[in-house]
Amino acid sequence: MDAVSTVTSTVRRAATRVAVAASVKHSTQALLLGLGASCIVAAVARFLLQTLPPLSVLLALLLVLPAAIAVWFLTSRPPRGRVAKLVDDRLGLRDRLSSALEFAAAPSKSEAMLAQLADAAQWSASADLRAAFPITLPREAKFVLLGAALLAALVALPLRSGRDAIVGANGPSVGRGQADEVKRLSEEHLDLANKLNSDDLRRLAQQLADIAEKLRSGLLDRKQALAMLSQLMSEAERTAPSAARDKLAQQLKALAAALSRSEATRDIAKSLEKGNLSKAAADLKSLSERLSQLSKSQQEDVAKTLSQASSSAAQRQEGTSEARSESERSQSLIRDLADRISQAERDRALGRFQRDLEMAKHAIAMGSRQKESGKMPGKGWGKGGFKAGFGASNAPQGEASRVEGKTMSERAKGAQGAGPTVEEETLRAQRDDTKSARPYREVYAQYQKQMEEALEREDIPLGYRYRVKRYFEAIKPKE
Amino acid sequence: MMASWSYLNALIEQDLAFDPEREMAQTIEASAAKFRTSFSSLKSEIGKVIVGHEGVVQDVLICLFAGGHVLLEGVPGLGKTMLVSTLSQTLHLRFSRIQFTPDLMPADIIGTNVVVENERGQKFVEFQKGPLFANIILADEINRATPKTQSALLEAMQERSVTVGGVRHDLEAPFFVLATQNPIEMEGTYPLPEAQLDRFFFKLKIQYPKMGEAMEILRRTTQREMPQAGHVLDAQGVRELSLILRDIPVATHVQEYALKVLYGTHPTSPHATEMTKRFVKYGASPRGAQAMVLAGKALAILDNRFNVSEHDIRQAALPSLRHRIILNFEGEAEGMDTDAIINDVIRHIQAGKQ
Repeated sequence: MDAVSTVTSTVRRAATRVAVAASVKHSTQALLLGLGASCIVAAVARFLLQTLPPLSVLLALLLVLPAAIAVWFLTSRPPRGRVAKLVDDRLGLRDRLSSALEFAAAPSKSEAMLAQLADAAQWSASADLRAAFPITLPREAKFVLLGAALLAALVALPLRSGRDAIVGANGPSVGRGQADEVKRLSEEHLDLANKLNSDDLRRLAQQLADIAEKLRSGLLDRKQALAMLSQLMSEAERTAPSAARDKLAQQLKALAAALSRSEATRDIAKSLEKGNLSKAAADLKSLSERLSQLSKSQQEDVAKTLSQASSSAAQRQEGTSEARSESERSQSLIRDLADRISQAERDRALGRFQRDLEMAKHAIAMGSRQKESGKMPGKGWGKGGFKAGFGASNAPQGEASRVEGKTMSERAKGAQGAGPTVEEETLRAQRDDTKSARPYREVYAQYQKQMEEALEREDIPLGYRYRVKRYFEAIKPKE
Repeated sequence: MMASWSYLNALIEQDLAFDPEREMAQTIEASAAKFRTSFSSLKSEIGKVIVGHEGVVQDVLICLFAGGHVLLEGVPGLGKTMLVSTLSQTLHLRFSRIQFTPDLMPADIIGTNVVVENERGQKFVEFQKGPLFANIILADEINRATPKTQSALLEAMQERSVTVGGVRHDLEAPFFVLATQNPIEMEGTYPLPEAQLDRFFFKLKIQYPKMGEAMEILRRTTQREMPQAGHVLDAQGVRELSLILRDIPVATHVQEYALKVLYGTHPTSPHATEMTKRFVKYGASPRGAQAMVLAGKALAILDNRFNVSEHDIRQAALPSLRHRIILNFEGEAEGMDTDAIINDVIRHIQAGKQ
């Protein structure tokens, strides 16, 4: 190999080492950046969205930038003259290589140039490029290791952040709070079933309780839970078809209309109209107890009304008690109506159970998106949604409302423009004090009563009722 | 027949083995080796008389071979004159010493036309050569002479010839002037103008000898026999070695480096440092860059190289540029040393390369 080849070969090898060293250094720095970004993404996914971090995004963040930088540095080599100067400086060659590189390109070489080339070739042959351009891991490498360990922990550890999440066997997990909520629903319905003595509701609630237990134990993933809830819904629908419930509601309306004709049964009719079946049943019982104390004409009137009511609800009782006394007939009709009301209560409970199941299914299907969408109440971002949520939270009723107490409405007069017109507007003005004009306890008691009546009257799902009661508990004035 | 065949084969092999480039390289290598040997011998011989001052001796020899002149600056008694006279002993050259005084006239150093009479009584004008007609001139205490006399010397240094009575008289090569001047401002001195300082290749500062060196000076100079330096080179030898020096090639980036150093001393240049802008009125002339490169060549050969490096330029920067930088009022008032400015420029360039 002649002198020029030796020199250029040395410079080429040095350029390769320079490029590799720069590539390693800068791609490591980029990797560190990517790791930081990946850790942030993984932490957001895990702790805020409660889901496993998307691996494709993490891989892209991790690899794309370092790979691009590595390729760029490896393909764009530094100029040979600069590399030769670097070799000279690092090995103390006193510009031998850089000068030789220039002299080698000269069209005609003087004696001194040839001697210099020979000298440079001799030096470059013994040049220790490994020592001059060591390819070592930069200082950032240890931080890369730390970052990698952190990212691995964020990705690989089970998606269980305290009480907030459980892991399914085969797929995306169901939140711990959702499982708890299903469990609570099942317990409420079991209580209701016992209260109403409804075997159907008890059976269905027990099945729901089994599903809740499996969810809490992590034996079910979201898909499986949804399938089981769908199955339970189908069974509930078979047990109490929605068409039958509608028919029953119509019958109760007709019953209320019939009972409203008599003075003695008007309270029962009102309770039925309001949908307060429990009160209607209690009123019926009360009527049964004081029936004997009524006058003869009143007893006849009650018997007639009850008979009409019974016939409006169903036609089976007509004429069956002709031989009995008015009182006995009325008692029989009262028992019959009480049975019907109890049946209606049981059917309504089954309907509520179906709606609660629907909500539970919806909440589980929404999963982590519940918080993201902001449409579900519960914890965090879900506050203020249009449906009851199923998330564990320290403040299930949401954050307390902030009342800007130091303002008041005040009417202010003023002229607009140059004309004689005088406008009067109501403005928000600063109050002198923050005390309410009415005692809070009084206001609270009034609203609480209205709330209880509304809950009793309206066909409100259990989930909603629970929230409303919790809310009123939260704002209850201190003793 | 066989003998002829063997001879022919030998010729062919010799011809095949002949590499003209290698042969050329070997020639210059031999010349460079000769340069180093001669240089080393000169230093060694001078070292017999002059104690210490190795750097100054090396710089003086570099000037000699680069064809430049040296301005030696140092307080009296540091061996400036001794150094020059010893150098003349080692070189088999004609040596003149001119002691500059205020009443020294140009004709006293150049020579003059005198009327002479021959044997037949005929009178004619003949040029009587002055002490300038020598190979090595020691212009002792040059700043004591009037500017007129200084100018006569400096013109001769530049032109390497003198003109008297309309007749030009060439000075024999090598023509090497070593001027000394006293740094202490004294009454009756005429500081050299900046334009004339520029004619000196190097300005060397002679420092006090160290304690050990002073002891050796005492020992050598207080005994019966004074040490004598031997002859090493003659005029022809000096001329040959000067030519070798000029054959050394310089890479473009090294030339650029020398110019960066040069322009770093110019206050209006983009390469100027803050110190330059503050203290310098005029930077070094292009002669400064020439001096740095030529001295770099000599340093390269001495370092067994055939290329000038940036390190050589840095090494040559101080003696090449220090007398070519003209300080402004602030620089003078602050007592700024031009060496500090040059070092600052070099530091600035090195930092820019990091």
